[in-house]
Formats: sequence, C-alpha cells, structure tokens
Amino acid sequence: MGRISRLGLFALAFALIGIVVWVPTDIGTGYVEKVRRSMTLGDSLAPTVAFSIIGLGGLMLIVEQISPKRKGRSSNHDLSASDNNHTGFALKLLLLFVIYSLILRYSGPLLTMLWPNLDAPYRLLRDTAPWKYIGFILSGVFLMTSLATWSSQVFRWRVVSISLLVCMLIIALYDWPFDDLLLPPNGDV
Amino acid sequence: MGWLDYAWLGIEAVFVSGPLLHLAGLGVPLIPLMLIAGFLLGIIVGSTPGLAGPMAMAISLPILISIFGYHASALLPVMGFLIGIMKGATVGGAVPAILFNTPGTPDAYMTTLDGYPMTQRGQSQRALRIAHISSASGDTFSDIVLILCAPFLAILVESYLDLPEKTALLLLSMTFIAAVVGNSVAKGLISAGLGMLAAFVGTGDDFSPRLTLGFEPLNQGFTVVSAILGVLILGEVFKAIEDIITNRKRDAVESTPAGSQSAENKIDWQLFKRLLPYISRSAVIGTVIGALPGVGSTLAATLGYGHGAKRYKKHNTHRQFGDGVPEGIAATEAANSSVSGGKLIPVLSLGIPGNAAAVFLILATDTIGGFNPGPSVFDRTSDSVNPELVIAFGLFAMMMLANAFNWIFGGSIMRSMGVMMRVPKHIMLPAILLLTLTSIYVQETRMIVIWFTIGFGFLGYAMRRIDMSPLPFVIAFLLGGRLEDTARQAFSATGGDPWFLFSSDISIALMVLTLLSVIMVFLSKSRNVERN
Repeated sequence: MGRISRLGLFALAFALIGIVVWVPTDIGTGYVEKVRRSMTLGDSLAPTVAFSIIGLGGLMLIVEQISPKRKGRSSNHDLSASDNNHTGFALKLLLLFVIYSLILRYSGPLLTMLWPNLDAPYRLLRDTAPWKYIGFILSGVFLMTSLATWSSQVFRWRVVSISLLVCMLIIALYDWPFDDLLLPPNGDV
Repeated sequence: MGWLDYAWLGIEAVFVSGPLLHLAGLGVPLIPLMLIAGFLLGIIVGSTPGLAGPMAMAISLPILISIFGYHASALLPVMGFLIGIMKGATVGGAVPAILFNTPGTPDAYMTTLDGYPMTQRGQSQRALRIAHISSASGDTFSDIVLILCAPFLAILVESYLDLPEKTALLLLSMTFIAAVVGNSVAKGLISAGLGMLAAFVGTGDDFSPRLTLGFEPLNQGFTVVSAILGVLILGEVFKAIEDIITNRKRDAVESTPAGSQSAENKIDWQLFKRLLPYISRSAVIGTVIGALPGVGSTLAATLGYGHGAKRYKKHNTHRQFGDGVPEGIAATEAANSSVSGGKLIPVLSLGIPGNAAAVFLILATDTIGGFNPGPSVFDRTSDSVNPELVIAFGLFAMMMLANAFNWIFGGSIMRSMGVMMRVPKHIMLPAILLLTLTSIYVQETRMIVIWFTIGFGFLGYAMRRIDMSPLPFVIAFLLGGRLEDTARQAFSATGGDPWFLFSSDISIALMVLTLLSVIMVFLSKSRNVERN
C-alpha cells in the first residue's frame, strides 16, 4: 500500500472518529439549537463540516490511488525509506526542542538559586539584568549552535560566537527599547 | 464625499498627517520612510535564497507592532513596511536566479532559464536591468488595475450579496484555493479541513470551549500567530534544515562565478521596444492570475513564459527561449511581479487572502484593528468620513510611491545584491527560527504558545514532505471563524432555513461553482498526472 492511500485512509479514519466520537463528546451544543424561540446554528456544525472536508479529501486520495492508470506508479520501498528518514529527523528535532525548552525555562532559576549571597528568587529578578537574559541566551546559543552543527556536521567556535551575537541582537531588538516586553521565559516564571 | 476627496485624504494621511520622524530638527514623514525601509529589506530578502518575502513579513510584524502599538494610527506605517517587503522581494528574487542559477523565490525559476545563460555570456548586468524594468512595469500595471477594480468589485459585492450569498462566496473561495493550490485537489481539501478544524478549537458560542480534549491551555484556542507562523515559517525552516543535511555534498559546488562583463550592458530604446509586447502580455496574465485566490506567482510566471516563448518562436529562428534571450526574462519577471497587485484585489474588496504575503497583510490589520478588509471598506453611503476608505487610499498611495522608488532606485540596489548568496544557510535558518520563536513569545508571553508554534511547525513540515500545500490550511484557519459567523447570521436571518445556502439565484450559482471548481480541477489534475 503506497503512502498516498495510507494518507487517504488515515484522513478518512480521522474524519470518521471526529464526527462520530470527538464532536458529540467534546462540544456542548448540537448542530442546530433553539435559543429564545429562534433557531440558531450550534457549535457542532462547523467542526463537522471541517471533518467532512478532511474525509472527502481522504476519500478522493483513495479513489486516485485505486484508479487503474495510477497503479504501480510509486515504489513502496523508496517511500518507506524516505518516510523513516523524515520521522528520524523530526524526532531528533523534537528532542532538541525539549532540551532547548528545559534550558530556557530552568537555567535562570537554577543559577540564581546556586549563586552565592543572592537571596531573591528568580521570579523577583525576572526583569533585572543580567538574570533575565540567562535562560534566553543559554537556550538560544544551544539551539542555534546545535542546529548549525547538525547541518554542517562540523562544530566550530565561530558558530557559537555568531549564535551569541544573534541572541544579543534579538535582546537589543526586543528588550532594550521596550519596557513592557518580556523575553522568554520571563512571562511564565 | 467623492472618490477624489478620499484619494486626497489618503495621500495626505501618508505624506502630511502621518507621524513624523525628527532628524536634525526637521520633521520627516515616517510612513514613506517605513515603506522604503521595507522595500530595501524586501530586496535583500528576495535576493537571499532560502528567505522569502512572507518570512520577512512574519518576523517584522511583531517588531512593528511593539514599536507602533495597537492604535489605528499604526496601520499605515506597519502596512507600508509590509507592502514594501512584498514589493522588494518580488524584484530581488531575480538576482540569484540571474547571477547564480538559483532562484531566490520559487516564481523566479523561469528567470534562471534565460538569465543565467546571459550571465555566462558576460551580460549579467544587462539581464538584471531587463529583469528590473520588466518587474517594475508588471508591478505598476497590476497596482493600477487594483486601484481601479477593487472599489468596483467591493461595491458590486455589497450591492448584490446578502448573508447567504456571502457565506457561499467564502465557501467558494476556500474550496477554490484548496483545489488549485498544489498538485492534488484531495490534499488541498485535507489541508483546508485541518485549517478550519484548528480555527474552531476552543471557540464557539457555548460557554464550554469546544474540541479541547479537556486540555486547559486549549480553552482560548490556538493563537493566529502560532498557527500561521508555525505552519508557514517553522515548517519551511525545518524542511530547509533537513534539505541542507541531506544535500550537504551538493551544496558545496553550488555557485558559479559570473564571468567577465561584455560591453553591451545598457538597455537602449530599440531593445525596450522589442521587450514591450512581452512585458505587457505577461503583466495582463499575471494580474488576472493574481486576482484569483490561491493561484500563485509561479503559475503566472510559467504562463507568461509559455506565451512569450510561443510569440518569440513565430518571429525568430536563430535563438529560442532558454538560450539566454532578453524576452524570456522580460516575460517571466513581468508576469510574476504583476501578481502582487492582483493578489490585493480579493484582499481589499472581499477580505479574502490569496497568497502568503496577503495572509500577513490581513494578519496585520486583524492584530492592529481599525481596518477590516472587505466590501465595507469602500462604503461611501454614510454622511461622515469613512476612515477605512481613507486608509485604503493611503495604501494605494504607498503602493504607487513604492513603484516610483522601485523605478528610480530599485535597479541599482538590485544589481548590488549578488553578495547575499554568500550568507550561510546553516546559520541563517536557526537564527530565523530563534527570532520567530522570540517574536511570538514577546507577543503572547506564554511558553505553551511556543509549543503550539513548534507543533504547527511540525505539521507544516509534514505537509511539505507529503507534497501538501500549507496555504489552504492558513487561509482556512483565517477564514474559518468568519465563515461560521456569517453562516450563523445567515441561518438566523432566513428564519432557520436549513437550505439558506440555496435561497437565491446568486447563492445557488456560487454553490454550483464551488462544486464545479473542485470537480473540474480534480479531473484536470488527474488527467495531467496520467499524461505525465
């Protein structure tokens, strides 16, 4: 079974589950409601239309694939090999984002906790330099350097310094001119 | 007030009554400066392979909003900057196509066919001049058509379309875009359906938020910036990074030096007269194609090039399109540049974005407020001044100013942009990623929004990998809420008639067109696939 028909089947199944299970259980009103003696469209109708469009697309993909003139046009082996490569890439990228997010969120609070003679928690310092930049700079340098190194397969200190420069430029763009803007993660801590 | 009064007010809003920038004690009107700055950035971005106008618009928007705020007075400077980027990127796309055989934007691919052979013959400066003149001509022509047609179309829509017809028109636009964008109608429909679904999460009339699966952060729905920037920008960045990893060895031998320059680099009157039929034909093709939602500049460039090639073949035998003839560059550049003005016709008259650049213009007006693109913009029935119409004419004035700047200075700026090829992609893409994530956070100030954006980025990446265009998703996401609201109002206004979409001849015709557009495009694309 080729990738296109698998996509078609997936879209069709997703649409059916959406219409039969998700819409009835996760939406408070039906397709049509009576409000103060007049009829109005309920919240379920629009999502059902959206699911129907997805289902229609899936059905059309299946029809396209089983058309006799199209059969045997794609190589299943090639498709599954490239699918695996893409999935592998996406998983590695996701892992990178998880690490980026952890550094972004926790490096500032951790450093302020470990810093000698600093009584204030990070929350009180989140709008005070240099503390407010710690998470942003460390995570930004990590994200940029690791992506650039992954792409070029070579680690260079020059890339680390460019990443640092980019972080400083972003700080200069958003933090220095505007008092009311908060760099990540300072709105969440 | 008459049209001319509004036109004058619009010009005044740009040059006289807008904010001033104080330089050495002198007050300089800020809006034209923003437009020119956007135009310069657009040329830089267009000249850099891997970057595109919409990407620069996406990154600039939050910065501009931070600077100018959410007041109606912010509209013209912000829109001026974005329109400048849009126009500059159109011109800049030809630079790497001609100098390095690498199109800066997808629609400049056809430019490589004749531009690069001219570079190899030592005529790169001449090729760039031809590209600039053709691009500026096409762009100016389409802007004039926009100024003449958008008000007329808006008045027609407002006069003849009631709520059921407007619902049917929105459905037609969305299905048409889903059908024509990309190689498969089915994938276009799935993309549009997903976009609608994402728009409906957490919204609705009921007190309990819908489709949240009990996940509290979804109660407010997905923010527009996280969905659009995720799918359009992060999705593209992820794909480009993977492409670099996969094609690392091929990238190493990418650029070829331009070679020495031949003496004949200027464009004389004889050559311009020779190019004029190709430019004018392609400008018309590009403007018409541009006015159709969803059909992009790449198709316009292909059609313009195809028509130009046929005409050239009739009159010339010794050399053909693809051998490095100036007419090939003129036909392509005039067609792809004239799309930008045409694309604003549905934006201003119907409020329907037809491409990614138009999506960001609508996003800017949505975020700032005070201007709702659509038929009401051109309403002159009230006794008082319609501020939206003044802004619309301000936009027209800025577009003409950008064209004038392009005609006078665009060529020289464009010819100095070859250096942008040297920007290393493997550093530029992570920098764009970081800048995009930061710009989203400073607007929303919630980490969960960053995660939503990354999630949408993966969705955009997956769409590109399975050859599904993300544009129907984005447009359906933007229009989904409006479609539901209009349908609700139409249903109530017709007294709860379940057949409200078939209540008048016009709405029936629009619904039939909706169905026909899907069937016809599906059959035509299926035939093309079988033939190939």
